[in-house]
Amino acid sequence: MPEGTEHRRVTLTVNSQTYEVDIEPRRTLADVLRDQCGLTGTHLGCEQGVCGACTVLIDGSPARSCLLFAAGFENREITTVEGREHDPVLAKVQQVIIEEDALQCGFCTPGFVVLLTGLIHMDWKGDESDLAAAMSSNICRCTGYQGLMRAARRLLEPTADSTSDQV
Amino acid sequence: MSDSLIGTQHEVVGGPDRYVTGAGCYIADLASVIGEATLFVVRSDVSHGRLVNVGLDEVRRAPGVIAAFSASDVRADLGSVPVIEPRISVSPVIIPFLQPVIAVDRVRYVGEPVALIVAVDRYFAEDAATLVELEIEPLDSVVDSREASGSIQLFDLDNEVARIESSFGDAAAVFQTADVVETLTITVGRHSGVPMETRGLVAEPGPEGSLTIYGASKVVHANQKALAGMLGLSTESIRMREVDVGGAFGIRGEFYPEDFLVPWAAKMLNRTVSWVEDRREHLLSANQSRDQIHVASIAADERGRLLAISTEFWIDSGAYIRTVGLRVADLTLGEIPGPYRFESYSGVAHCVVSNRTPTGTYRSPGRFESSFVRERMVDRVAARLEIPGDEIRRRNLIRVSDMPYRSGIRSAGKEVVLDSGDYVSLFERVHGRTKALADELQHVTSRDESEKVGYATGCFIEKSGLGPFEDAIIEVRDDGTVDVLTGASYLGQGLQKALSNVVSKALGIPVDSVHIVRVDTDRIDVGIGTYASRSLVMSGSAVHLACQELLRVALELAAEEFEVGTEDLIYDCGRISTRGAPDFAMSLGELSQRRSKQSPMGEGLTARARFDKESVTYGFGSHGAVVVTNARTGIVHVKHLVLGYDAGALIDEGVVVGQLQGGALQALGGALFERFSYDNVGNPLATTFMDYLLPTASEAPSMEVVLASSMPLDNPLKARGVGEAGIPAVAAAIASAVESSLACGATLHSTPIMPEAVWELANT
Repeated sequence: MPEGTEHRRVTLTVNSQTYEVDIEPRRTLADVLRDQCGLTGTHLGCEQGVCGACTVLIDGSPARSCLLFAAGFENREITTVEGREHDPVLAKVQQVIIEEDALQCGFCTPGFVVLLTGLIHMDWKGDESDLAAAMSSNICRCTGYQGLMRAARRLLEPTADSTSDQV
Repeated sequence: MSDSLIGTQHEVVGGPDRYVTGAGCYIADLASVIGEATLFVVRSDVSHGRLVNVGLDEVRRAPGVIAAFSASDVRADLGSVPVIEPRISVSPVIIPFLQPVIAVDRVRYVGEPVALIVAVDRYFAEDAATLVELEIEPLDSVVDSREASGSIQLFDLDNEVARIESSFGDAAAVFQTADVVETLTITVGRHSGVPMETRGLVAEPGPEGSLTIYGASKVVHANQKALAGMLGLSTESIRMREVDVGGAFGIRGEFYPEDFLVPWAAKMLNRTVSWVEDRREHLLSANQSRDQIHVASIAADERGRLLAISTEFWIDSGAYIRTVGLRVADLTLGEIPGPYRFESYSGVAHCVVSNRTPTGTYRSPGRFESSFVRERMVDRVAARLEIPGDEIRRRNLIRVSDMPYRSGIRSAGKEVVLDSGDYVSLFERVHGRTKALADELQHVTSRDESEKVGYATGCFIEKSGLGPFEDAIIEVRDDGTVDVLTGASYLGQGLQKALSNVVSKALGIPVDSVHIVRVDTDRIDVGIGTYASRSLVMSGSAVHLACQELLRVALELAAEEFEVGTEDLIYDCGRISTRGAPDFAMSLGELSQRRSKQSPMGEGLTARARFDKESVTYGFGSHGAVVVTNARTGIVHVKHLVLGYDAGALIDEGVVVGQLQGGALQALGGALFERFSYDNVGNPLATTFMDYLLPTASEAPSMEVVLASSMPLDNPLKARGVGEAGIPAVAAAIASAVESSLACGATLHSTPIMPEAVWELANT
C-alpha cells in the first residue's frame, strides 16, 4: 500500500475462520475476500450489483459482495463458496449442481451455489415462478438455466404453481 | 514465478466439478495471486476526435503508480505503433482500416485505448486515471451505416471499406416475372457474446527477453505469432498458456489492443503485469456483432414455390476492421438462401465503418442475421399467399433426392455442398412438437384474455468443422493414464468431456484416466483454435487418429518386448497381452515406463496425429418457438423452444443438449432484450447490465432438444459441431410466433423485438 494511504486493521470471520486484514476503508468485501483472504472463488462479473457472481452469505443471507465495503463487516459471519467444511448445506448444493449438469464455464457457478445455499437457510417458500424470480438474482450466460432450475427445484421443492397456468 | 504460480492451489487441474467449490483458476484469480503490478487502460470518452495531447506527468507522480505510457512511448520503443493484422478473411482493402494498439492522433470510438497506467493495484490506477490530461478535439461522428458514404470520414477514405457480392442464377429476371414479390427492410440489432467473465491477461517476463502470457484462448497459436511479430521476438520466445475461461462465444481470445499492451508493458518494466477489465470496459471495447440493415426481396409462384431471394445490406463494422476482417459479411452472404431450393439469389454487402465499438464474430456469425432475414421473407410469402408458413417450408426444403445439393454459392471461401440429412423429416418433428406444446398451452383456461398464444418454426443451415487442420498429441503417463493435447480451447463448452469420451472409446480406458490438457504452446507447438464449431470435428478427429497411432506404436513396442509378431498380440482396455500366453502382458503405463528408460530424452509412450480436411461439415436444423404475447403491454414471454439439429454421431449427448440450450438462450436475448444502443453522436448507452439486458431464469423458456443423426462422411467421428446450432433460427421463430399469436402478417422487421413494436402490431 502506498505511503500515506488511510488504512485500518479489520477482523473478518469467513467460513468460521478469522482473517486479520490491513485495508483501506474503500475496499469492497469482494476484493478483500479475493486479494487479502485468498478466497478467489467469489467472482466479479460486473461490479454493478447485477450479475450475482460475487454472492456471499452475511449471517446466512445472500448479499452482493461487490457492493459492500469490507470494513463494515466485522463481527458478522461471512460464508463464501469455499465454506463447505463450515456449512454442510453448501456441500449439498454443490453436489446437486454437479448432478443436474447445471454448469458450463463455471464462472457464475459459485454465485448460484451461494444463492441457493442462502435460500435454503432462509427457509425459502414459493411456487415455480417465484423460484424463477429468486434465481433471476444471478446471471448465467452458458447454460440456458435448464440444469440450474432443475437443481433449484430439487433443493427448494416449490409448491404446486397456482400461477403456472397463467402464462 | 511460473512455477510458484502454477504450483499453488491455482493450478488448472481437474474437471469442471471443481468449479462448484470455487477452485477454478480464471485469469483474475492468477492476477490476484500475483498482485504486484496491475495495468489499467485509459480510454477515450469521445466517439470521434483528434487526439491532441495525452499528459501523464501528474499520473506518474500519483501514489501507487509504477509507470504510465501513451502511444509516443510505444513508438519510442518500437519505432512505430503496431496495428492489429487480420487473422482470417485477409484482403488488401481493409489495411487502412486496421486498429492501432493504442490511439496515435485520432480516436474513433468511446473505449479506444489512449494511455496505460501500471500501478500497485486497480484502486490506485483508477485514482491516477483522473489525473490524465487528455485533450481531444471532437469531430462529427458517423453513426448511421447507410449514410456512411457522407462527408464525415473516419480514415480520410470513404467509410465503405468493401462491397461484396454473391449470387447464383438470374435473380433480376426472376423478380421481373414472378407471381409474387415481397420486399422488406430488416434490421438486426447490435449485440454480442458478453461472457460472465471479463477479459484479462497476465504477462510474465522470463530470461533473455522471453515472455509467458496467461489468459490466451480461442486462437492461441495465432496470437503467439501475432504478438511475436509486433514485439520483434521469435515465436518460440513467447509461451502462451490457457487458464480457465469464463465463457468466450467467439469474442474472447481474438487479438485485441490489450493483447499487445499488457505483454509490452511487462517487457518495458521487466516485471509481471496483470490486467483484468471491468464490465464497463468490456461493454465498450470487446467485439460487438450483428448490426446489419437489409433491404431484402423474395419471389415465389402462386403455389408457394420459392424462386429467388435477394438482399442488399449494410453491415456496421464499428470503428476499425479487427482480426476477422470481412468474415461476418461473407458468412451472411453465404447463408441467405439457407435450406430452400431457390433458383436464383443475389446478395450485396456494404461493409462500413462508424464511430462505434469495433465488431467481430459472435457465436453463429452470419447465421443469426441471414436466418432472421430469410425466414422473415419466407413468412412474407406465406402471409401474402395465405398459405401456412410450415406448408411453404415443407414444399421448398431441399430433399434427400436433391443431394449432394450445390447451388454454386460460396461461404468463407468454400463452395457450399449440402450432402447429408433428411431436412423435411427433422422439420416435421420439430414443427409437430412445437405445435403440440402450443396446443397444450391454448387449453389452459385461466389465462388473462389479453394474453395470446402463438407458435412458429424456422429453418437453417449450420456450418461446422472448419479446417484446415488440427494436431493432437497423446502422452501415456507411468500410471497408464494419458495426457491429451490439441490446439483447441476449453471455454466451458464441454469439449474436455467430449474429447475424453473419444479417447476412452478409442483406447478402452476409463474417462477419468484421460487428462485433457489446456493449450500450452510449449507442449503443443501448432494449432488453429476453437471457433466455427470446429473443435469436436477437428480436434476430436485428430485425437481419434492419435489414439490409433498410439496403439500402433504400443503394439510394435510390445512385440519387440515379448519377441513375437504384432499379429500375436491382443489389445484390450489399456493392456497388451500375447495370444495363448496370458502371463506375457503389459499395460500402457508399463510400456511407457519401459520406453522412457530406453529413449535418450526420457520420453515415454507418445503419439501425434494431424487431421486435415477441406470440406465444411454442414448440417440442417429447425427451431420452434411457443410464445405468449400480452396484447395490452406488448411484452412477449417465450414459453417453449424446440431445438432441432442433425448433430450426426453423438459423442456426448449431454454436451450436445447443453450447447443447443445455452446457444438458444443467447439467441433469445438477441431476439428480445440485448442491444448495444448509441446516441446520435456515438456515445454508447449500454455500458452496464442495467442497460444491456441479459436473459435471466425468469425469461428462460423450457427447451426441448430434437436430434437427428445422419452421418457426415468428412470426419472419422461422423460428427457435426454443435456449438452454434442453438442460435440461427430462434429469433426468426420468435418473430413469427408473435405474429401468429396476434393473427397478423409478417411485419416485425427488427431485432431486438421491442414491446412497443409488438404493442403496435396488436393495436393497429
